[in-house]
Amino acid sequence: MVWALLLIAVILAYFLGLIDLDSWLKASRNLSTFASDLYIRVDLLPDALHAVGETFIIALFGTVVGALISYPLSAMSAQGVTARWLSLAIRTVSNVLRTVPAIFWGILFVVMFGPGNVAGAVALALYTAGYLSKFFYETFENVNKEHYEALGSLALPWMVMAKALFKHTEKQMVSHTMFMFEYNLRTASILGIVGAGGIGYYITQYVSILNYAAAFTFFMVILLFVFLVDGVSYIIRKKM
Amino acid sequence: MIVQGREDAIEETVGSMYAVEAIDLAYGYNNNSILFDNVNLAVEHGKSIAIMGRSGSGKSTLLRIINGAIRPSRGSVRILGIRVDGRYNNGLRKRVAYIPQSLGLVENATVLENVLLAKASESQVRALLGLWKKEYIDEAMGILKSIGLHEKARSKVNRLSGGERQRVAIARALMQGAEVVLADEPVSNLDRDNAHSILDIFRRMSKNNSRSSLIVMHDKALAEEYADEAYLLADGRLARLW
Repeated sequence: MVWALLLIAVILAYFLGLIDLDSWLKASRNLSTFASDLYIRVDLLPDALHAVGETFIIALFGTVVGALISYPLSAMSAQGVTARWLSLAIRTVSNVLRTVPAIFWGILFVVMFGPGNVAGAVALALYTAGYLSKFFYETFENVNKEHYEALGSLALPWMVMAKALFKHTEKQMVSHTMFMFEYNLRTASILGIVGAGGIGYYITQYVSILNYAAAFTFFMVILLFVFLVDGVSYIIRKKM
Repeated sequence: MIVQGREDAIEETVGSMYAVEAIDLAYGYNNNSILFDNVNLAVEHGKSIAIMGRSGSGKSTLLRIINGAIRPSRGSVRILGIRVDGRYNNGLRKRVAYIPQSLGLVENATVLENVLLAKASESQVRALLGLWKKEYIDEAMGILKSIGLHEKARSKVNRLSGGERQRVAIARALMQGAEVVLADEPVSNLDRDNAHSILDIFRRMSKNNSRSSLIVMHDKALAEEYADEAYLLADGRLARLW
């Protein structure tokens, strides 16, 4: 089995032009040039922090607005809470929202709003709504059936029932939302590639003019910030 | 629908001798697996009824059928004289409280919020905003005091003991003003003292307010002490014990 896979890999590598000593030598020369440019430019740190701030705001807006949209969507799409036809219709909408990658939503909104942070923020809000509504309705569906029957015996109006369910599953909801924020922070960092704002925009611009030191500085700052946010988020979720 | 509504009203006026009636009930998961058959039960107003039986005998299913959560394979249920086919209408819904084994409490809400939820249908906007009328808060606090839980009114229910959580569920049923309370094993996970205390609340509820309660339980000694009548569900049949 292993030999067969190895043989397939070698054949594919040949067709891809990877079995070519010259191209490997060229790649290693490029790498060494690139590596020599990988240092932190202290003079760019204020700009990098500003770009991280923009990325943070894009991710936060996307998460908050996405969560607000997904609350009613999830309550309406949880089976056993609403009518089956409504649940299926809302699920289809949220499936579409999350199946289209965030970067494609970014392209759409760059076309609509022009390049910048607005496009990235709106793209992330939509993508988050698709993802969180799935997380949320699955959380609702994991609640014991008897629980619904007990709350149902209070003849609660639909909105109050939804509020009670959110309160009941509050910890999971907050945990999912924080996970999504971490994810959005990483995604907001690359949305700039298509012009949808954030630190990715600056990194792409610096790479295009071969200023690797500047790109590396911005990259390291966002990397450390993502680690920091992941850590804080982990601690908060553990304490809940 | 109008005709059905009139029939219901007439039936309620002339035929509400029993709080709960189960007539020739049968339930099976499929044709080859009958959980119980030919189940007949009549609960008088103000009576406490115990339903006993082994795990898996169908006690909880019977309670859920009476609660309108699942349809029986055959037979019918009348609650307060109204025939129930599947789900209750809203008018009847408020008159029957259901306390499942899991209690159905809102875990991250306070004791008071859980009890006040019973009044949400009367004040939807206030319930959504959490701005309850003072009279409701006073009523809820009065109920909590009567079951010895007023000092924990502001505590979250997920920080309470098993016995205290059970009391919150009962307090909510009392706040609901339900005429019939269906409780699925309310004392099965409690120690003796707590079990006595909970069943005592059920008994007071029946005697003071003419509420009927249908309680699924395992412990025969406790049932003898607290239930006016008791039934055993075994081998697919419901038999009266006393």
